[in-house]
Amino acid sequence: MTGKNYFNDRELHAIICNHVTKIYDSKVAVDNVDLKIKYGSIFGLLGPNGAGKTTIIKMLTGLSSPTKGDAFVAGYDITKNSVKVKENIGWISSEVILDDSLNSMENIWIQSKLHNLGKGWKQKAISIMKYFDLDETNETKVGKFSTGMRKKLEITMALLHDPKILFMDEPTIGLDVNTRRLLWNLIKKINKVYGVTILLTTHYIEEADVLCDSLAIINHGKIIATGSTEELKSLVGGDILEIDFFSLFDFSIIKKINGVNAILNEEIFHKEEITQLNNPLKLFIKVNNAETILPRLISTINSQYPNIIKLIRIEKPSLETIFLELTGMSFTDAQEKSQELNYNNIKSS
Amino acid sequence: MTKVMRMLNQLIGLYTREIKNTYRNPAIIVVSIIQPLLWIVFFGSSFSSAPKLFLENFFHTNNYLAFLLSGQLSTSMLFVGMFSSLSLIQDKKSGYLRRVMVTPTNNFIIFLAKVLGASTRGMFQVPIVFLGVMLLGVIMPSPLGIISFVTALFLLSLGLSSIYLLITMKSSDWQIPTVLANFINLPLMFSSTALFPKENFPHWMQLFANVNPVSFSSSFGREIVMSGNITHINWIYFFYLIFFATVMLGIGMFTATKTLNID
Repeated sequence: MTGKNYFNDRELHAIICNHVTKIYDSKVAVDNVDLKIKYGSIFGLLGPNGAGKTTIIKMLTGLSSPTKGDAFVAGYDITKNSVKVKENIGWISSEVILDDSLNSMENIWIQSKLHNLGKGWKQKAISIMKYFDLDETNETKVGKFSTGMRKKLEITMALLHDPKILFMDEPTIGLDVNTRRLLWNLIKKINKVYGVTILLTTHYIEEADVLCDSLAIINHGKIIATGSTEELKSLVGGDILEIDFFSLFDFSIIKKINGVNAILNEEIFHKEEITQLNNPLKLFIKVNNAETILPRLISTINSQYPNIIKLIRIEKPSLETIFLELTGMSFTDAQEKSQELNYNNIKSS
Repeated sequence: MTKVMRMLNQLIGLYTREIKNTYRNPAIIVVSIIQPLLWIVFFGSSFSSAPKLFLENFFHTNNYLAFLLSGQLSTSMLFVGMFSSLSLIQDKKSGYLRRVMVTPTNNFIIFLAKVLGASTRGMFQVPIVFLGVMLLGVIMPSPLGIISFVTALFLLSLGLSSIYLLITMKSSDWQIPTVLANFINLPLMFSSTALFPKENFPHWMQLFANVNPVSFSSSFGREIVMSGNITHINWIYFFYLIFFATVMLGIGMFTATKTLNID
């Protein structure tokens, strides 16, 4: 990259990561990540638990330094100029973090002091609170607020100093469906009304689909795909059939059917060396068009292995199917595997 | 100048939070008032029936309470240090430290706010103890004497809180400050002049007492209480305390800048 392009890039993009890597002891948490996030967009980092999303946020908010690579936030180098980075960002945690023993205005006052805001802090706070339907005269300690109110207060605090970029780490984790939808609307409003660039991490596929202009899918610390949701969906290029069978069988017959493009998780079964034919089997089959191929597929399987099909699901192109296409594993399976891995790590340490 | 103002604003914000948090629970207020008074009443009364000649020979006064006053307050500052550690660990556990660290606040400001907060907390009990001992017959020194004595206690508290925070900077374990308190406080208390004069200590313990900051504060305060003013007191202990507090704060602020993180 030439010097001129390099600086243009920093002017155009709110966040730039160049080969960012983070290694804890010998474990690679983030592996050679490249990202460019345009000003004014909502960008999502989608991945299962333990994929490295929070580590990326930690580095971009100046809480942790990359082991390798460099990154720029609001045009500032995250390691060389972390104070400037912090002046230009807001942060919203996955679990709401406030001082529960203080009321809302006291919490906001401390935030205003930390950002060295002048006398106008209160006016600014009141206008944001009104926008979010929060009562600025409420003297109740925030520990007694509902989750929704606490989230709104946290967002108020994050916006108080007019940040250019807002980091939201799993913003809707643990919230009920209604509060989650309320927060989605708030996030869209913040992006539109305040013009803030938003980088959010999530492991909810639906959330990424609804909120993000563009996103990166991350697994095992690596970005495996990036683009707008439409661009990513076009990667799949067909429907996915998820079929549960009562037992294992020679599924190579499926591949011979016209219109079947691939069996996505085939490799997993080869790796695990199928020896017992009594185990149940789940296949993800990529097809041109599920509705037209399904009758042929069922009759072909039934003719050789009668009554072996337990359940059939049709998946139209979605972020879930993209994840499956790219990793050979459903998002839910990846979550479970990651949790299992974490549990084993804790047990062995 | 702008940079200094910014740091000052951040310090004011975090320090105010420390003070407000100190007395979030009314039970803490009550215990904070009663605890030092109980100390004075029970421990101070242990020599109340001792022969006056013994008191004068051993403690150089016929009122053990007057002797104990500065020692008791100095010893209390040992426990104040523990609060600074607990407060930091609580902020780590609750995630509040992360909330502060994603703002443009230098780590040493966080450290300073904790130390100042804990030391101020320690000072709250001073007027209550003064009032208690006055009721029990101890004559208070001149206002300048009181100010000098309280300043010495504050310096001791700053130094001790810095030590506690330094030791627990990397820890998130609730047990560490209390274990440390048990490990550090008792030796520091008994190897100082807080409860007894050092003349009767064995030689090796006198060496400890001579470098123990609790001794500096106890001896300095005691001289003021005994003489009633600051005209003829030895200021060397006060200068030791300034040195002790400055060095510990300096090391603490430097270490916080380098090592305080939530990785």
